[in-house]
Amino acid sequence: MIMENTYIGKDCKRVDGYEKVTGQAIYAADFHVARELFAKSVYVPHPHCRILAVHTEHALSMPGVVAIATAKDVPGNNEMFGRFPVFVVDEGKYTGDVVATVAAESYEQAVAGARAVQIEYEALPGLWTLEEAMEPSALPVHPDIADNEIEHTYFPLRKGDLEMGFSQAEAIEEHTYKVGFQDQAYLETESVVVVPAPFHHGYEVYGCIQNPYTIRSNVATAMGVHESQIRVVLTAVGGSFGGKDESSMSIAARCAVLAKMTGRPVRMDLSREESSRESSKRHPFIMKYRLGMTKDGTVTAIQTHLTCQGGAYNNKARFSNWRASVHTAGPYRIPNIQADIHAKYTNTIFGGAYRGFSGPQVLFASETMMDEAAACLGMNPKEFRLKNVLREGDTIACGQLLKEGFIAAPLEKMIQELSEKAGFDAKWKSFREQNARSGSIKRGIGIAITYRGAGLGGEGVDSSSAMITICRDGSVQLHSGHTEMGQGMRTAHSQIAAQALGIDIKRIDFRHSDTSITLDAGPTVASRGTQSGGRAILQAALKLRGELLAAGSKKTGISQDTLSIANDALITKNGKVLCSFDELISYCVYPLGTNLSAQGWYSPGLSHIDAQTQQGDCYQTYTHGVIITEITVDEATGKIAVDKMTVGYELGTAINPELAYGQFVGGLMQGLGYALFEEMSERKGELLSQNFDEYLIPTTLDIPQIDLQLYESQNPEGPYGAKGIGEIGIELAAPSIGNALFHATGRRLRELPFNLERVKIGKSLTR
Amino acid sequence: MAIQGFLLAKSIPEALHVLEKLSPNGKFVCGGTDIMVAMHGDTLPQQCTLIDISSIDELHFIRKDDGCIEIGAATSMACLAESDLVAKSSHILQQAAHSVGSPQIRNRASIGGNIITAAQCADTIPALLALNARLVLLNTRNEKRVIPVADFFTGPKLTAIAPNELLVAVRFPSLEGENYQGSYYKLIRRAAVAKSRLNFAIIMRRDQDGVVQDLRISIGSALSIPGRFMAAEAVMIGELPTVAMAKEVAERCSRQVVEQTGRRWSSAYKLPVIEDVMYRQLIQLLGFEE
Repeated sequence: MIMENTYIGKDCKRVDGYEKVTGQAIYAADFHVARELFAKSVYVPHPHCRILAVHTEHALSMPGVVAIATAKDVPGNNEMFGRFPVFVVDEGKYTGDVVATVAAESYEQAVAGARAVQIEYEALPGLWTLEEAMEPSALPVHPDIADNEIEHTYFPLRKGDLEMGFSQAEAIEEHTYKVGFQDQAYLETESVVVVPAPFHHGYEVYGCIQNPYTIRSNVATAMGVHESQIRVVLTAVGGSFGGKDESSMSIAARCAVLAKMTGRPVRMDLSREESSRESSKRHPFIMKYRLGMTKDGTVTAIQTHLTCQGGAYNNKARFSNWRASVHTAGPYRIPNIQADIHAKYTNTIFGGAYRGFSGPQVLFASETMMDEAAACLGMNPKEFRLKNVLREGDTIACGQLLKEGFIAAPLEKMIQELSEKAGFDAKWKSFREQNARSGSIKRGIGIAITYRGAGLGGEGVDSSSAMITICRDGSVQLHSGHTEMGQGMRTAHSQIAAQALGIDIKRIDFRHSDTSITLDAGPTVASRGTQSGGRAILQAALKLRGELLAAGSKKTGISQDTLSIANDALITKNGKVLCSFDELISYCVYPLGTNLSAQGWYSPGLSHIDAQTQQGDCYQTYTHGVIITEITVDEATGKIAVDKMTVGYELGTAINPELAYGQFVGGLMQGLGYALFEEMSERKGELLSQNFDEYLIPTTLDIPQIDLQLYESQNPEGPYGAKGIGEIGIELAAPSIGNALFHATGRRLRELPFNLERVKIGKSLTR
Repeated sequence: MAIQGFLLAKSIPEALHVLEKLSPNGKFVCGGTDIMVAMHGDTLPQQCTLIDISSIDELHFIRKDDGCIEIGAATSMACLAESDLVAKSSHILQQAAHSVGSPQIRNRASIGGNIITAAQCADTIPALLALNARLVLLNTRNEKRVIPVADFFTGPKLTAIAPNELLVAVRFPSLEGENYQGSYYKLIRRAAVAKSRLNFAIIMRRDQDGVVQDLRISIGSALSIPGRFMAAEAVMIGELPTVAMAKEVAERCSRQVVEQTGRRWSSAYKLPVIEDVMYRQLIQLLGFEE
């Protein structure tokens, strides 16, 4: 089948760009329903407390207050996935726990009503840090879990013979690395409207939500109704990065309870402070690494012990810990590996999904470790990596074989090319020479490399859905089971559909996610929207293409094998136009009566992974990245400025190179914030960083010069060879900046962020 | 909600008249960049009515009169940053104004607001202290008072302004053609739009032989009450400066911080930074090799 390439690898404009740039897109806070009430939550008075009594009488008498919901009003199950309560019953376990939610005629009345709810409580001692939770004597956060271990989070990885590997080692390096919470910092905070829908005795949820099916099942559980009775419809979403999930689920459930009590639509728009309190963050980790190597720099063994901080409730560590375990050793040919991983409950804000999941944490540790190992032997860190990097024919940590046409092994080439481009060797020497003469301003250059399993892999079933309908006039409606949050998925999917159907992309109208129309494609996470979701789109489009070619054959009397569709026309293989696309569609509608609607359902099938060793086909494919980062550090103040990043990513096919570039640079900048400033500051469970005056993310002026190169390869599993790329961009910044800092100053920092205090005096200070 | 009303004053007499009428619940607002934050955090006093003075023409000016620069209190940071007169007469003030927030904030924020809010991290206050600025205040009885900026701050976020006064202008002697050198350095956690951790303002004048005739130092976010570092200045005044002297000035600065504020949670970081940055700024001004 010859297909003219009109859309793949092309920088198409975003299909939803105009509406967003001109302010016409309807975000959740813009979406209003007649007779809606405004809801405001009452948070626990202390991060860990026993609730003795809740007095709502006075608040109920306040002007405009219509109803106040507490745990006793929840008609179904008060506990959602991951132990998250809709409302606290008798014990508040962290600062974002909610005791009651007030619904009123106006936002201001809801605020006043929430302030008037009185709570009698007794403050309790709590587990405020991961270190405390790791103590054997720690009090349990949940009474039924004595050791505070989060359920289903232990994933040991075993490869080779660890003892033998260390016995071959001539040098051993051992270090501990630590990273904290990171906030997704989306511009738009969480917002939902829940409408009671009496005809089917259920509820409609409108809002900015990342994973509509997760919200549907949890709201159904809380309300004691079937999933079919809950309809979740997305508005435009102003960023999510993994975050609009647990918090969206909680506020949707609370609004649903109030919608039932009042019979009216109920909306809730979180303030930034509320969003900071009750939304998920990147999981903190303490990571112990031990690495053995021979004197020539060959790594013989690596042993890691990782502990994740889960917070008071958690429904993601069971997935993110698996990813962490599988990626623990980095993209190196290490024959003997042992990784152990745990996750602990604490009385703090909780970990969840944030772009990269557990990848950035583990990569910070492993890529710093590799630099430390090189330094220990006095080797150039680039040469050390080249010596150990995975090559074609190697097996990776979980035992998958790297071979061309299956899983590519491009890192050796990428390291060499990008080092050359950045002038790594020359700068490695010249910066040190300059630094020896300079005053307080030092320059450094650092390298980091990564490989990342694309898609869910062994975390879950990576099945995706799509539905395409061609209307009578030749216009096309496209539904995906995945969600657009700003990443550009709509555009990538539209390009895939337009290419497969041979039509102009302008014919395609991409609809919002609506669980009453689309099929459950699972969550839009793990960089799977294009890789897996795109396959479902392609499948649906190819089904329709087959129907259209069959109809074209009937219409023209020419054999289907010699027909094609391209540029909005039915053509012969040698390019002769037979009829327009519109004419072909008319013929399908009448006289043929062809079904012009098709579903796509893609599933990669089951992974086979050994639970005791994590050996198996963990991911269908992997993406790769290499960065060389140049920094200037001011030793007088501890301030780091990132000057330049020379970076390359291997991504299969770039469906839309411009959007891919945006994904990588956006990720790099979030990684830069993780490396340099972002820190959720807490004091005994109280969150101090509740807004962007205290929680600093990079500004446009912090963006360094970025020299980015895309490396294409073939991914037989992806649509048109594409791989999922949403997350890998965030991983490389932190370790490469830390490695550059070591090069500049000779000092190694093993904890993020590298803020002014850590760089200047080696430790962070708290108020 | 705390805000009871919002009134727009068109002239200084009108603003003062309304202030008197509303007493004690009137509060002047100019750019609003601090009040917006207070409103969000719900820290404004109850019953407060805002009197907007940002449209009063008489409060918007930058002029030179008899060797003295005078700046209207409502003048925006953007205007200061763009003014040739400010650049020539007081380069450090121009730098300080340019370092404030973002372009959007600089368009709104006024120099008067920066002074009246009296935040420890205020960007222009160290520059104004080093410039020996004086503040012109007018009260509801139309009485004028001129007070040195060094006497204006009475405590953390507290000033000597009376409840019936309006800050109308800031004055300082122009440094143009007076052989002055200056340096302003602001330390923040990222490239822009963040509260300063510390900011350093230095003005120095040397004679033809290189002897220091005048030295004025102020460091923001270092003392609980904004002020000068006179003991440190004295080390170099009247002397031919040396590297060792620069070191001593820097050490005196950090010593004064400890003497005035005691040791705080941030001291372990701030004290060595004050020494290192002050030393470096002086060395650079003096043209020595670091």
